[in-house]
Amino acid sequence: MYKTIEDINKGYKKKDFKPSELVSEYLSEIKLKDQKLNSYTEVFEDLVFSHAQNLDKEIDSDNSILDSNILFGIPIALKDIFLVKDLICTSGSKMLENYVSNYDSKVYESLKITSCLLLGKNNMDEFAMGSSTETSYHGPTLNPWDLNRVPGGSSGGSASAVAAGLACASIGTDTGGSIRQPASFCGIVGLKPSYGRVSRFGMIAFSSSLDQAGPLCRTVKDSAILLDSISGYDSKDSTCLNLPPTNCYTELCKNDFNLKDFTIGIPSKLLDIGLDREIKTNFDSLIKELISNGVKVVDIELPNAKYSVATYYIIAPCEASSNLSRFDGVRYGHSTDYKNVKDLEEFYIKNRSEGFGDEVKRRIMLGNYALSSGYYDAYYLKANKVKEMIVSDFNSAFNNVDCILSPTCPELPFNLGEKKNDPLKMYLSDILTIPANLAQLPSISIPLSLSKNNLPIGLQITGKKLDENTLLKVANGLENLIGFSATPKG
Amino acid sequence: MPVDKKLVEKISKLSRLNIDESKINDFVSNFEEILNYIDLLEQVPDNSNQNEEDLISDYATRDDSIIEKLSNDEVLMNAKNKDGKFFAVKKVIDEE
Repeated sequence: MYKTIEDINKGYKKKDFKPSELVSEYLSEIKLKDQKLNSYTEVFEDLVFSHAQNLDKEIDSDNSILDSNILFGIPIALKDIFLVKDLICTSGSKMLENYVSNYDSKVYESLKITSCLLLGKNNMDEFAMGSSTETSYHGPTLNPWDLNRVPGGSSGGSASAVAAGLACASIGTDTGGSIRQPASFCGIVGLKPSYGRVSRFGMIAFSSSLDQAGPLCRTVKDSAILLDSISGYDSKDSTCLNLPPTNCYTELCKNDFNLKDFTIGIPSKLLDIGLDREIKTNFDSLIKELISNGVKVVDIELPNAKYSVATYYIIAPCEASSNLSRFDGVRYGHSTDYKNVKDLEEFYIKNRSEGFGDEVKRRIMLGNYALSSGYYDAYYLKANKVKEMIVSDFNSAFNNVDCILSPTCPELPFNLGEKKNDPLKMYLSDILTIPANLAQLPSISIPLSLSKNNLPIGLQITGKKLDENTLLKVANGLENLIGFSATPKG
Repeated sequence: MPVDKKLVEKISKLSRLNIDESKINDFVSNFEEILNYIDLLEQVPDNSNQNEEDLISDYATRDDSIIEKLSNDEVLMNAKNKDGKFFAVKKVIDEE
């Protein structure tokens, strides 16, 4: 079931299969593989099948819809952070294990219009806090390439499901790398758009100034199709930019570009952080190949990017501590019977302590510490100043280059449990993805190669703010050059 | 401020969280390690006179008008403790 959006659209047009037949196949695959992988928190078996049967009839009566709407009948999934009316949304937390959404997220609303098919919700780190999907209340998701390893996180369920062929694509969220790192660990494509491109309305907030939704899928073209459908202005998110939806897929299909048209920047010094040897060798070979193909590659400096992780682990917990203060058990969320507690404070403490896992507690506490009296200037204000310096580093770099290339992660997918008790080690694995979040830049991970042990290695391409068109052209050019087509056994 | 059990307990209280006694030592050592790492930012020279207003984005606003609303039942549907049309909590005001 390793079909792309384009493959499925062609298949429908040629009448090779109908939506209901395709959905049945996906549902059987999920039954077969997901007991082990645990990539879904919920599968909407009956709902999606009856939706698909309706689409069968629509195609039978008029199949021109398949020309104008490429997402028609495409089976996708959503990270369990997006609200869908009348369905449970847990955000990977016991806090929300019974929470039923009473409205749609903007992302889902946009997808619903296309008549794509919602297979289910994907597992994730609790409240998107993690890089391994091990902090989920639903248990860890496994990596289909090696069931002893993590799929990355926090959108690990999305990445694992797409990589294993259990969904054609999924929408995830990326605050410090949570789309790109799992895409890299699972050998698929993951795109984080520019901040403000996609509405955050109805997406459970972690760090509001950094969170951004984007697709995890099989090809760069598929990522363009999905970005085009979920982007655009939304008055319900005050940080959503007043811009029309992107038109990246049409631009890519023109095929009027060549990698030689672009100048690629490499942040060599930042890559001296101690990359895994195989990752370094594979990345270096790609750069050599690009140069020998006549692509202009130049060295760039991002002198303050080395402070990204420290900056991020102030800003994100500060915002999280504020965002997650809404979970007090009064209006929604895990709640004890109020008659059994001494007072309101004990009620809050009991609800929050029982509902949140340790990593979420740690980040709320870090945030409250950094924002507490006397520490605000030293932490939050300072971190925002450093963030501005990182933005300015990127602005200077983009005076000379169109895109910046690096590996997506400094290391290969790690073993389950390997870093679970060492949060700082876990945080440091995001060193190459965090800078794009801080600078609000669009950034994509595409598969580069496999390690000797058959583990995926991802390539990250970062573009200028709001220039997803150029970013995806370069990514598409690199994807064609690399020609990665491997699929996992799991 | 030294990172010790007392500090972690103070911050957990501020956060309306209770940390299990068996986990407190882990929280203290993780906190210490993370805060030491974050102190890396002290190395960055602070030459700017930027204040909070310069750094926090100016977000878009819109008219404060009602566009759509959830019904009373919808708003209450996820609440465990309710009383008629209201959320119910322990009484917070003492009777005179």
